[in-house]
Formats: sequence, C-alpha cells, structure tokens
Amino acid sequence: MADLREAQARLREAILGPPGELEGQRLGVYRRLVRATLRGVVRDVLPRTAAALGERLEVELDRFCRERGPKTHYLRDVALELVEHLAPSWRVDASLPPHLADLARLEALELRVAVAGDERPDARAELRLDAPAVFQEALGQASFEHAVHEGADPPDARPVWLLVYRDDAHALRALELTRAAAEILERLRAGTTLGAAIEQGARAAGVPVDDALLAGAARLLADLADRGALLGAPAPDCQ
Amino acid sequence: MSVRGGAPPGVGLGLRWEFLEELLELPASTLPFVEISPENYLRRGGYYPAALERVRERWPVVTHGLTMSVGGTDPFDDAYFRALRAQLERLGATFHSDHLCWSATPENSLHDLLPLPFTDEAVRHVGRRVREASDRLGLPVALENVSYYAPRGPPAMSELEFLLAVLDESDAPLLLDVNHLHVNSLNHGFDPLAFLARVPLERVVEVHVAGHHVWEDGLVVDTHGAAAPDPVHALLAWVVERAGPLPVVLERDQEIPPLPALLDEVRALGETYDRALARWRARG
Repeated sequence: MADLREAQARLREAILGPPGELEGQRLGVYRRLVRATLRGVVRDVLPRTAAALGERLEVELDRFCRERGPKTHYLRDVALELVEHLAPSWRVDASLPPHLADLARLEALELRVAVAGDERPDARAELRLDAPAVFQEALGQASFEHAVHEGADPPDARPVWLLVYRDDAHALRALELTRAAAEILERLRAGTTLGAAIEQGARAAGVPVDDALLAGAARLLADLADRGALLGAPAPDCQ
Repeated sequence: MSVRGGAPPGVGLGLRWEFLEELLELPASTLPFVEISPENYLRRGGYYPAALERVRERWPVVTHGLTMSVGGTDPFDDAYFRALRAQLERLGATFHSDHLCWSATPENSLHDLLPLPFTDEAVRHVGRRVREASDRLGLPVALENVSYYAPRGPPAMSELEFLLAVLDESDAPLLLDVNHLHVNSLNHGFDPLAFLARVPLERVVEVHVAGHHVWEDGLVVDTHGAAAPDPVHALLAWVVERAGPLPVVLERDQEIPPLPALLDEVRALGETYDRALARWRARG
C-alpha cells in the first residue's frame, strides 16, 4: 500500500499546487476539475462574495488550494473552510473591497444557520434571572464593520451586530441588534444565567443596567420567543 | 453478491436541488424512483432534509455516495460512516453505491473522482476497503466504474481487467455507468461493446447514464453537463437487452435544463430502455 499512498500524495500535491507541476500532462485535467468544483461551491454558497471578488476569485481559490486545500467530506463546508482561511487576509488587503471579509463572514454564518441541526433542546421552564436560556440550534450571531446584511452595494461602513436564525419554514431571518443586546445574547447563548448575562453584557457594551436596558432586554427576549428562536429556560431536571 | 431488486426498474432521475421543489409538484407516476447523494443531506437540518422526507413519501430513494474514497489510503472516517449508516437505515436502502476511485488523502478531501492505478496492489486494497465499508454500513456497497483521463503509472492490467479483479476481490455489486464507459472508450481507444461483453451482467444492480463535453484539446470529459448522446443510449440498450430489467439513473450536474426538458430526456431514455427490454423478453 506504500506505493499507492505515495502516488496519491504526489497527485494531491500536484492538484493543489502551482500549475507548473502538471502543465501539459493529461493529469492536469484533475487540477482543472477540482478547481471547477470548488469554484462552483463558492458561487453557490457564497454568491455575493464570489461576485465581489470577480476575477480575483481564481487567484484566491488557488491560494486556498496551495495553503490549505479542502479537508471536509461535505462539499458545502468547503466554503466555510475557505472563508475561515482567507477572510482574515481579505480584511487587510487594500486591493480588495473593504467590506469583502464581512460579506464572506455573513454568508458563512448564513450557511451555518441554514444547515444547523433541527434539534430543539428541552426548555420547559420560564425564563428567570438565575437560570441560563435555551435557544434553538439554528441560530448564530456576529459583528461586522459594514452593513452587509442590507444588500446595498457597496454597503454602509458602520458597526453592525446581527443575529441570524432559521424560522419554522426554514427561511433565514436576520435581526440587527444593539451592541448591548448582542453582548447579552452572546453570554446567554454561552450558558451564562440571564441576570449575569445582562450585567456582564451591559458592562462590555459600556452601558448602565437601568430600567431602559432591562425593558429593552425584556422586549428582545419576548420577540425572540415569539419567533421561536428562544425556547425558554432548561427544564428543571436538566439544570 | 447480488442485490437486484434494490430499486424499481426503469429510468429514474438523480435528484438535484435546482428542480427539487418543481419535481415535488408532479405526480408520483412521473418517475419510478429518484437517486440522491447522501452527503448532501448528512449532518444538516433545515430545508433539504425536510424536502427529502417529502420526496420519500412519493418515490423510492436509492443512494449514491460521492466521498467514501474507496481507493483512498487513509482510514475511513468513523463519523462519516455513522452518519451515512443512519441515513441509509432511515431511507430503507438495500444497497449503497460509490465510485471505484479515490478522492481523499489524510490531509485533504479533493471532491473529485481520482484514478487508481490498475495494479494488483490496488485490487487487494480496494477489495479490503469495500468489505470494510459494507461491514460498517451493514449493506452491500456497489462500485461504479469511473471515467479516467490518465493512467496512474505503467498499467499492470487494463481497465476492464482491473474492474473484474476488483469485483472478484470485493464481492461487490456493480453500478455500471455507460457514459463513463463511452468516455473512456473515446479517450483511451477501445471498443465499449467488447468491454461490456466481458462484464458480469448478473452483478449489475444499477446503470447510470449522462452526457459529457469535449474540451479544446480533444479530451472527452465526463461533465454530466449535456444530454446523453446516441452512443450512450446504444450502450444502455445493449446492457438492458442482455441483463433485463434494471434501475437506470439519468445524472445531470451541470447546465441543468428546465425540469420539463430533463423529463423529456428521461422519457427518451425510457423508450430506449423499453425497446431493449422487449428484445430481452423476446430472447426468452
């Protein structure tokens, strides 16, 4: 099996590496086919990112292949691997649109939420300050430096905190949050009790825990419960 | 190993998301069955798994995998096999199929059907892997002959000899892709009917048909991006005339036409199939 392993390792390197290796050889067709597949999944899963990259997509695909290459069994997840690997450098690359990294991160977040499991954790109890909250699986949040969720091209450059979730009809919904709401939700989702999440979130956002904040948090949580995104508190026997 | 009867005979369609909703609007009599790639539904919730449940209510579903990497040298991925087995059990599959190729190394999953060398070492290796895959899934794993564009090293045997040796070594059923056979015959210059004459047709559990493209350098590439051409119809007919009723799947992955046009192609293939089946019946 050593010969087989070595031959496969060589072809992998040639497919993912620079074109020179396979130039003029029949095996070069595999380099082309692999890239066509990767290009296809990026265009399907990250359509706005692919459009913003334009012809630069080929360069970035080559770089992804050369530096890391796809690792996942699941073709759709190659798009996530690509964003994770390339977006940090896009953020500081002056030759690319300044919102590109945010756009890619938003589309990656949307994919994660779209494919998240259907499980609905047991949450039979009412929310209370000394208990954590339980959310549906298909939900995620992130902050951005551009309003990439609004669809404008180019998007406004302003700080944005988004919560993305999947509704009962499997459609993706995005809610724009205040900084304080995002900080509180992030902690709640990480398992912090509601009271502590409010206190820590407010501190992180630099706002006081006053009546306005508490009323706003109550409205947000009620809204998320109405939308089916927030399920409640863990059942008593789960705590 | 024979698993005939795993899917209804006739011409079915490889399910693609581009026409999933539209297909669900049509009567169940539109198709005898559909084929899915389980990888597209594994480890995910949301719309597509829910849609698959609706598909199952209408049609038998057969499964055809993309990333098992039967010829790969890295150990099988336990999580992938667990998820795949659970999916196959949910679908009531009687066999599963994947490709006679490799697609991953320990470092990368390349998402393409990469060629194996036609050697005894590869035969023994694939034989072991197919048996292990069948054990892990609790089902027979049928192997599909793939199109290949360059031999890997000096061949110790022909593609046909390699395929036959792998089938013997693995005891696997065969998913016979007549488009792959046609593409290989054009690229490597052999007679596809002479090839078919030596294929053990009793091992064939399913047939795939598709179209292909010719690249600028003359290479014929298995793109699944065009209608199945006449020579592919002819190979399908040759097989059905001699093997009898079989499930046949039309695959289309690129330049997917509107669903009515795709169903017209299914009907045209169905006519080829029916004529061949009539000849099979006349043979007694």
